[in-house]
Amino acid sequence: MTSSQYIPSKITNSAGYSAKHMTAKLRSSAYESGWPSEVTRRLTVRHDGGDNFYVDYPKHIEKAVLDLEQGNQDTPPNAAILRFMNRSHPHIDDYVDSVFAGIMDMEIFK
Amino acid sequence: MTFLFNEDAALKTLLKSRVKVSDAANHSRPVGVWFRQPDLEIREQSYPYLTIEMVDISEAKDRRHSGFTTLPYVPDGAFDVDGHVVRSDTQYITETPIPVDIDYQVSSYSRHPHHDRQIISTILTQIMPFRHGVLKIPEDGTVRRLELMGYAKRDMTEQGKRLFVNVFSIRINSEILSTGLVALENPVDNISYSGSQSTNEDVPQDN
Repeated sequence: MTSSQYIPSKITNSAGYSAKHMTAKLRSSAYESGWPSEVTRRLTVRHDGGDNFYVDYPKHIEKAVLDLEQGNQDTPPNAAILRFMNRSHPHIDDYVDSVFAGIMDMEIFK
Repeated sequence: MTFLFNEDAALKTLLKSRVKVSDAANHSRPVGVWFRQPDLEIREQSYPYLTIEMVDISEAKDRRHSGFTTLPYVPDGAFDVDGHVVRSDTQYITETPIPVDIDYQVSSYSRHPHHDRQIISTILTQIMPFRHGVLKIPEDGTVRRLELMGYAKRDMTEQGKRLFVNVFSIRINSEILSTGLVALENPVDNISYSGSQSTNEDVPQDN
């Protein structure tokens, strides 16, 4: 097997690690924004296998998440997910760095 | 007014001037626009209506530049390094301003499905299409990008009545000054030169 054949698995591994790291950050920042812990502990950042990371949550808490994020007639929006996404550049940079570092390692030390 | 106040006012003015609904009882009437939810007594009498919420301000790192520049506009309400309010007839030099994104959430609330559709149609076609939306800020003469970042339908039933709800997530580009403004005493507005001979004429000829 050539080193280029390891690249997809390297990307998948790095994406999984980054998604796990971002999940922890998202949960803590949502909690700091005042979201209840029973909601924040069910938020997860996932990688779609392509170019995107996205925030996922169970269907049964969808209304609670949207009511918190977008507000309703009784409460103003508290857009913790949007704020997290707006500040996710460092996490994406770490992800890209780890992918390239892994590929360079394979090329140099194969 | 200044940063953030100008964007708030421009967005509210744009929505108030463009979004109208009509029905059998009324040919055309403007839709009320509020910052945050109006009081219960008011909103019960004023369906449909729109709310504006500012949800985030973040540095736009994708538009970041460094260095000094002559500003192509005069920031409203800013002060120069001497503490004087800036003048619109003066050019100023400063460090490149910090680009920021202001995220707003515009929500619409209607009792009537026809009003709901009219609001969606007007907002998506006349105010913030998915691309190339603009917002004019009259105070400083700038035209900002108005981007539609997302749209969600959130209809619900409230006390046995249908409530048609739409959520538009939008982004307005802006910038913040990082250093003081220095007025250019003698701004250069054109460069002219005159000369009677070409430099080539100074080159010695062979013959």
